Amino acid sequence: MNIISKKYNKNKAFTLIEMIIYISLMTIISLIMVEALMIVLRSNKTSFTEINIRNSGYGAMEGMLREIYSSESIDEISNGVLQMKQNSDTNIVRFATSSASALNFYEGAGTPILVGPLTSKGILVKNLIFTKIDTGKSLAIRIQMELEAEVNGITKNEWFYSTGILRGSY
Amino acid sequence: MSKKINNFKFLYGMTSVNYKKGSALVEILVAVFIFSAILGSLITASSMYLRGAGDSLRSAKGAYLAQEGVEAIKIMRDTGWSNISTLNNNTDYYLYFDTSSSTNNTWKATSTISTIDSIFDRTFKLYSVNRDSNGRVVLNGGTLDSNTREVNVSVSWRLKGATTTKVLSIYITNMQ
Repeated sequence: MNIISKKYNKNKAFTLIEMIIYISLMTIISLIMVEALMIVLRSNKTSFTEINIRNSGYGAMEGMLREIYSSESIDEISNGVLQMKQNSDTNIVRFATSSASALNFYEGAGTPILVGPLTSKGILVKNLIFTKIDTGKSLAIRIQMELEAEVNGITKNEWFYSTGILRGSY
Repeated sequence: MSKKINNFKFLYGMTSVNYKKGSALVEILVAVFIFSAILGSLITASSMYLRGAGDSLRSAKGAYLAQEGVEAIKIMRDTGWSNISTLNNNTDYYLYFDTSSSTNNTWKATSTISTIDSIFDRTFKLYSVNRDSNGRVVLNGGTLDSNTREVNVSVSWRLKGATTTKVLSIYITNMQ
């Protein structure tokens, strides 16, 4: 009994200091952990918005340029709206921003019918400027498009630029 | 009988508690190392992912700018071959969008340095083209074809200290 009591007292003194060290270490570790996790989460949000913008920018630019290349004449051109004729005027393609700020693609013989959006959900088309270029021999369209993505409070804006000649206009 | 068990319980309980508390410091140290290793690798992986996403966004934008450069040169050619023939070979030119005429906007060449979105540098260089007696483009010999030029459009951008360059190369001919 004497031995046990002695051992118990000796260890009790150690435990107190240990507890202080333990608590302070745990506080430091959890602070670092929380901070590091916040950085990781923020980075992931940023890269998620960047990937979102990239995918929509790529899809929209590719879709518009492909139709420009296979078009013959321009029907309607203004900010946010581009309508062109293809295949000896038998097919009409139209790009227009919707009320929800997505970029919609329409196609049809007489009146173009909505095919679907070229931008993904959560992407806003902030600016879409079409400029007509007439060389006398050919027609071309310059595209300037600004996309905005918002993921959990992180907003990112990006401009995309390109120009395409209507191959059928030669 | 019951006293014996109680004593045993007391003895066992104390040793157990003392053993655990004595090792706590070492355990914390090990835990700290494991946690920091895991977090370190997480942060590294995340930053690599982030850099990849940024790279891919700039690369997509750069590709469209290079494509636009090629189309702009074709537009200059379509407007008049003199837009191309008066330019010097082997010299860096920039492109600018001329909106001075409200009815006829067009792309033009300039030697004035311009940067797109403060990130992208887009230049183009012209090279003379020689053809042999069969009209084939040759790198050596042949005779100079004044109605053909080789065009290199290059788009470059900096990202985290490294420069990436995309080059598109085409031949352009006078269509008259």
